[in-house]
Amino acid sequence: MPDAITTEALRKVYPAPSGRRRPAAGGPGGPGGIAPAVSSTRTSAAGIIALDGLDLSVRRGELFGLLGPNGAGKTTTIGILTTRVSATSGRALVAGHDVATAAVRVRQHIGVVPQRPNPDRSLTTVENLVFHAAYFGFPFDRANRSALELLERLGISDKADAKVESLSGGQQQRLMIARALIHEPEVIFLDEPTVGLDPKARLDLWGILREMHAQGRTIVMTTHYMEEADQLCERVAIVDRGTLLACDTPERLKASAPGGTLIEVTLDGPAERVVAGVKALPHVSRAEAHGDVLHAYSDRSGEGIPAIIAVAQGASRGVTNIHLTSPSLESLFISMTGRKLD
Amino acid sequence: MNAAPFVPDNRPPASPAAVFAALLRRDIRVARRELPSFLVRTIMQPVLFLIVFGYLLPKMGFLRADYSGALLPGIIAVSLTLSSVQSVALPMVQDFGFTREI
Repeated sequence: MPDAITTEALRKVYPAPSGRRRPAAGGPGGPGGIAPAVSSTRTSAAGIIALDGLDLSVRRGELFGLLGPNGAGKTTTIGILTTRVSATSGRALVAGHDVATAAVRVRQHIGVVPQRPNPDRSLTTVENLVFHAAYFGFPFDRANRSALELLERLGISDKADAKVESLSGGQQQRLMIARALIHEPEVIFLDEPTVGLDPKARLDLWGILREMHAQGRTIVMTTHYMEEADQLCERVAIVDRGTLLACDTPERLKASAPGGTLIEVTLDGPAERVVAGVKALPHVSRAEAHGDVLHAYSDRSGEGIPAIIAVAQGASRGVTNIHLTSPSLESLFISMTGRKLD
Repeated sequence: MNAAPFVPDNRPPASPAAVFAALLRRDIRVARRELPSFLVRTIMQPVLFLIVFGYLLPKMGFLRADYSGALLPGIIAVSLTLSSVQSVALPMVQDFGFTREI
């Protein structure tokens, strides 16, 4: 069976900025519509390079995570795969259909949960679902039945006849998931689904995603939360500056992270003058200064800490905070890109 | 959620006519629900024009008596233009803008 999603050398260059906002579908600015950080996108004479030759393949029935900082090209990728953004060059197949030449076919096989809920505000909750299914050619009585069933499953059946405005953020998110499911799509895209949800709603959403996955649907989600990708996804692609840095299971990715445990030591002054001393310590494979924060990678989890503190005090720096990060996608990401996910 | 395994289907895309019918049905339902405000919005303006230009201004002597002959085509043209702007452009602006429904 072919893969659910294949992309080959996908490239997207947005026209050079002229004070105008980037297209809404590709705007990576997040909920607040903030412009992407300059450091995470590259500009050229032709414009902003959002994607620079991305090759991806997602197997059928897989829960796939796209991970990267703001502006890495995640939202643009989703935009191309959901036929809302046209690629500058390259090819993308979703459910066996080309997004450029068979966009209608593709749309029929995908469900999309957008970054921000965008329900039809003049309809009630259940009407939102019924009409969405009707746009895909489902008869009304059948759509109505499956809409009520979905609302029941997602725990918002008590809001079935309520106006969409009266729903809370988490409930609107569930409505968007129900809408993405109502026309029985094969592939479901979620663009930063947990941004702006409270911790409980987030855990609930994870449960919903796991159940959808258990049904055998292909799920592609973008996130910039490490632990989310780690706990939820079968395979994770790390994307930065429009290119694929790594793509594997979270376990194998973590195993490839260098230096084991990351020890973050916050000092009461610039950490530069401590770096050399810390580097010389046994167990420490790498040390870097990031302002007042010292990053030391140690192969033995906490043992090096007293030595590091001693070095810091020797350089007349007080230690204000110590944070240990066990080998994780986070430390891998930091080592790959040299910067943190925000 | 039930654990019924998902079976990918290969039904053909809905016909354009069916999609149009569904969209029309949605619009009719919304229009019916908002009927009072819809009527007020569409009827009030021509009626006000009629009162001001057809009754008040001639009575006050600002307009010649034969002005009312130009009134009917004028009101029709103005209502057509304004209501088409109101019913197409403004909702589009809204949907592309803050509600992001498109």
